[in-house]
Amino acid sequence: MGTYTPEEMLLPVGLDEAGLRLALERLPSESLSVYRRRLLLEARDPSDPTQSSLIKSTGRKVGNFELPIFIIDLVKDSSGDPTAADPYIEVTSTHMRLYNDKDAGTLELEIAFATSRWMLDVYNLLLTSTYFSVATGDDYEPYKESSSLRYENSHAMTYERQLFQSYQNSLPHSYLKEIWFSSLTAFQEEKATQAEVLADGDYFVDRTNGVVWSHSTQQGNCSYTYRKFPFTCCFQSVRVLPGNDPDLDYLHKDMLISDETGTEQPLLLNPLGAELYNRVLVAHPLGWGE
Amino acid sequence: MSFRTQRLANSFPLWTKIRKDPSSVGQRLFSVFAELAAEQTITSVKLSEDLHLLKHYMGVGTAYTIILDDNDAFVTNETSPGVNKYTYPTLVGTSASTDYPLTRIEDLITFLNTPPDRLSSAGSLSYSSYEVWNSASPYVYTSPPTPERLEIAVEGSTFYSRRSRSQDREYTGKHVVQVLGTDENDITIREYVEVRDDGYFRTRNIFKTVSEVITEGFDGTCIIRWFPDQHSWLVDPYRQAVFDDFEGQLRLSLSTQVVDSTTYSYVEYSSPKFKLGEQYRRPEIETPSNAEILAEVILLDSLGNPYTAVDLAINHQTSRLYVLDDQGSLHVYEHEISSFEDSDYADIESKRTYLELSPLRHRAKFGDTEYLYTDFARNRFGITKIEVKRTAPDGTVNYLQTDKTTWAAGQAYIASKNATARLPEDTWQDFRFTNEYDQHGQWEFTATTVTPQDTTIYATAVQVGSLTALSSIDTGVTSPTGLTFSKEDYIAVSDGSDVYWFAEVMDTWLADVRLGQILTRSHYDSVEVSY
Repeated sequence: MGTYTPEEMLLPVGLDEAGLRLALERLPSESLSVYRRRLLLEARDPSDPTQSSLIKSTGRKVGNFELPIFIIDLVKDSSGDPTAADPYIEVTSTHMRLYNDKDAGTLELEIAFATSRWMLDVYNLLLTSTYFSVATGDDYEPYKESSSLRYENSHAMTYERQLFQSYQNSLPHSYLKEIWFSSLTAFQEEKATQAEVLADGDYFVDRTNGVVWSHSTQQGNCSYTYRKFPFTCCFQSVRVLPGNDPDLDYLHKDMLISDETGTEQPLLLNPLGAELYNRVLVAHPLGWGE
Repeated sequence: MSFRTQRLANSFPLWTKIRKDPSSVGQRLFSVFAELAAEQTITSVKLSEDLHLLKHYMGVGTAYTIILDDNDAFVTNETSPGVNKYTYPTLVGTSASTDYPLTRIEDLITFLNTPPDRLSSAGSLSYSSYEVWNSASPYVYTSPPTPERLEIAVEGSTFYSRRSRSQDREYTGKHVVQVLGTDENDITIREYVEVRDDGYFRTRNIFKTVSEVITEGFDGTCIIRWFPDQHSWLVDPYRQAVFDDFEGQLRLSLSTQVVDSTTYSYVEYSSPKFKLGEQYRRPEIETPSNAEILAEVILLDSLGNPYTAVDLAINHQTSRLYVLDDQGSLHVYEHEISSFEDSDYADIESKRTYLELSPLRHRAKFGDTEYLYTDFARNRFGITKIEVKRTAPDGTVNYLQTDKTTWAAGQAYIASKNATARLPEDTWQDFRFTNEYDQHGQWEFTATTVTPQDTTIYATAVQVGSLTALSSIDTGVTSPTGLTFSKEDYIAVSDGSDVYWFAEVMDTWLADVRLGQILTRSHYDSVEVSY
């Protein structure tokens, strides 16, 4: 007679076959429904070699999902336009910054994760914003670490969006910033209002709602930058940061008073930074330090 | 007997007994091959879905293994050179300080598809309403309380557009419900659900939110729910209803009937005669009943007792039927229409017959009284008299008396109206008589026909079907109202305010004698192995 502790053994199922095609294998103790959700994520938002994809997709390879924590939207005036002139949000390795006018460099709120350690701290600060409104997402927990928020910003771009042959095209995004057209005949002179579109070549872009009007029939395509609002801040268990993020200095360097500005700045390489840079130098000895 | 048996019989002409009488010897023979074909069809349907990420079942992804020590290795006894006989141990699994004796399963297929022995709780959720969207309030969208597949109910349509009709040019000719929303990963998804006729449909996608619903091509009400409400029927995707003159999708529905002060529940097998709403749903036409009933079968629990059913669902992993009763017990069925037994008829059917017996239905409902008809089908000779005999499922033999309405144990011959008539057809007038089906099982009827030339016997049977559950398990949910399977393949039971999820637990094990290991279907904290 003996007493045994059974060990889990994965049996092959159809989802495993699909997982092979998507280069995502089932993990030990991962339920089939969670595995399927991971496969669906990879199938519908495939990983690619871009920076944003690398940031978003690394976690799913090891069985983690991004969790929506904050949903930040724009405060609008009575006419439905955002009160911020050029709203922009960025989440870096160490900070979240909310600009009400990015072009002018006007920063409304800067939240350092080192001092606002928990999501609750970040949430309370976001509530003080004049230009942005905040709501908590499904997976908000007040005592998750704020430094696990996904690295990203609210700026996005769409390339070569096909225009219908019409006098008016409604684009799939709102809050456009800049726009370029492939047709130089239909789009010659941008007007300030729709009423001023009176001759061939005149056009007007409702940047808030993402609508393009023209006097001539539209053709070709357009590329545009836009502001992603509502902006969703996600929690990542596996956080990926680009090596060229200037804010990484706050992690890798200790504060010193700068000779040039007389203010405290991250200038002195700390043990964490030294270890990291040494690892980089081992991997890439050439082109560094010369 | 499989639903497929009738399909094989349908290759014969309509007038042949093998086609019109499922109790015929031919159909009993065909049922062997039909069962094989039906099993292959279920496997084919599952295989065709197997690589789809959004398939309705995900399979058995995990088993648990125990490598036996040398002391507990399977005992072998070489009965003849090269032939080993194994002695298998007794296993008891312990989970949360409770012991569960484990049953050995001999083959892998059974091991993977065995019915549950018990249920384990997998959580619960409070809700206020099943509804996500209703065409009566088209601008109100409610997100499901948990990401789930959506059930779309389309009911009460009086109009389906026709592509070929000039008045319907404003429609594209498609009949669809489009659902736009987000999936579990907050990615925008859109699903087109084809609505060929009013009915109940399930999205393949799992929706976390619904932001837009578009219906086109019909005028009925459309209600989208995240938990299937008790509705009038459910489609079994793995089987088909086959009649002697048409076939179609197999619909399952529940009904109850009181027989001798006892409430019985029935599963009704039916199929729509018209497959497309555009074939018969027009404002100027009164909508006809579109369901043809194949059989109504009593549902019994694993001990053979009746109960009051509340809701049913199909397990897509095993294609079994799950029925929930009003006391919160779950009953698992390997559902097929009941077989006609090869019975020991006292009266053997003769090669030549003149008069036939035709029951209204060969599959009657327990508790019903239905007609049977005599049919002088081959009037070769004039009839002198006939004897109609019935054998009830319990073996009781009765004869139809000369009043043509009562049954009694005494043998009785019913004389023809004019035995001396010149033409055979003038000797006999067909009549109908009734039988109360107050026992479930096979009722056998024979008609002995006496003519001046010979005596012939015609035999037929009526099946009053019943299904006995493979297992009946108490969920512990009092006053349950609904049953379905969740996206995780959990059994989901609702009671009007909460949904309770249960994982199926199979206390079974499989011996792997080659590797000296044991596989268990379910997880235990520890397993004791003894001989």
